[in-house]
Amino acid sequence: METITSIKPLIAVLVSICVVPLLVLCTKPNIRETWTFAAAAVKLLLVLSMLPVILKACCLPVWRHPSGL
Amino acid sequence: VTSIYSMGYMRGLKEHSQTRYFVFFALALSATIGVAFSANLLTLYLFYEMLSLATYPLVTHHQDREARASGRKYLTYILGTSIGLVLPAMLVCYHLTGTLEFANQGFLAGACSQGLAGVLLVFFIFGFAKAGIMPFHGWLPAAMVAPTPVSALLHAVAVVKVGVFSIVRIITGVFGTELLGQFDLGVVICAIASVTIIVASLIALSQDNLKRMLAFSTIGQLSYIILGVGLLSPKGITGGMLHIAMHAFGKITLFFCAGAIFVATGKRNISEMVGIGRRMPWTMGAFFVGSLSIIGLPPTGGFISKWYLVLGTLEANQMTFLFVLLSSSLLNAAYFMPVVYRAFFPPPGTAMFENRVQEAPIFCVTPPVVTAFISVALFFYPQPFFKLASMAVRFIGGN
Repeated sequence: METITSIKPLIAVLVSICVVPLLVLCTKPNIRETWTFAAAAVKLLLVLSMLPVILKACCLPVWRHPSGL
Repeated sequence: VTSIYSMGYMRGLKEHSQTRYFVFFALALSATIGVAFSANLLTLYLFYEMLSLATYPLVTHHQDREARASGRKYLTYILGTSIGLVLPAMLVCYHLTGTLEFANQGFLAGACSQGLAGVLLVFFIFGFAKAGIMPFHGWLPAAMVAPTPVSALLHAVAVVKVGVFSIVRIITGVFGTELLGQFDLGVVICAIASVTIIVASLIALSQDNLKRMLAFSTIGQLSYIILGVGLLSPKGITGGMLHIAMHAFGKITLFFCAGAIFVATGKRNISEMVGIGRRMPWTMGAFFVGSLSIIGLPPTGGFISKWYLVLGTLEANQMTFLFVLLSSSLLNAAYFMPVVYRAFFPPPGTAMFENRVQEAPIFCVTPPVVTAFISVALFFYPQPFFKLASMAVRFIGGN
């Protein structure tokens, strides 16, 4: 199986973390829940966007930390 | 879908500290995706621990004595096993090979003796206690004190699937199927999983609290996945991996329904739900579909994964484990079907609800209907998950 370098796996992990300050700062429940739903939708779309590459080309998108981790 | 359900549930019950709830929910999801995308054991372990810590405030959300006691139990089991068993095993692996990078035939291949491999395997299997392998399963029923969306997503899908996923990664990426087959350790994995499957199903039979019954059902179903991968046969591994997805949709449906029932009626016990199908036909219809998927009956996705698990036992020539799978399915039917039957067909004069439709708020009803629909759709179109599982099996085989 080939591997291709992509930032998508990292964004998929980070998207929910990035929304945390917005959730904490929100005073209105409607806005807070809009952010929750937006983060969930972005995460889902990111994961789904990686599927066609994996299924068609048998490629594995990977993101590597500069240290090699 | 769970985000929508969370909004409906938390608002419907006017829960306190909703911001804290949504913050830790988001962190838990990040950690879960992190585990799924990990390319080496160290990264997987770090995200695994992050998930443990992120879910603690969710388990103890109600902040009463029961929630705090459950939280302590949760952390003791989950952190105790990961630090006490997984961490030392990981250090030994690194000492032996100088790497923790997952490899398609395991990075331990050729680096350890049969005895050491057996010890490390046991440390890893029991160490990832989120997989609910007995006797380290006690945290799961206790954690059901959490709000139902937490039980649904985290304790039927994300947290527990992180546990079994970690074990699958250990079996395939650390040891490798060839090494485990060579040392006859696949049978050990299957035997450990079989005990959990049968005992958890028997305990589920005696539960009256719906969420506790679902918790014990989950414990049994998680071991199906481990059993499938432990068979070390291509069809068994495919079935095990498919079951991660199929069980997720079936079980999240059932938890959503349990939560919707609680929001609409305040009932938690099965004995108080006689005739509830008349009042909540959509919810109980979804419950019926979710039950079929967990039992492994068509037309639901659960049938596809169990079919491959059964084929895997035949391929590996392991008739004992075939018997375990079939008898467990019977037990699943024995604890799910009476709930559905009494909900829709109560004996005369025993119905506890009026013959008038009154469902939970739409945010609580739509998600289980959607996930039940997906369960059925996966029976007719399992290709995305099936192709992923098949690719993983080919990758493990070195192709």
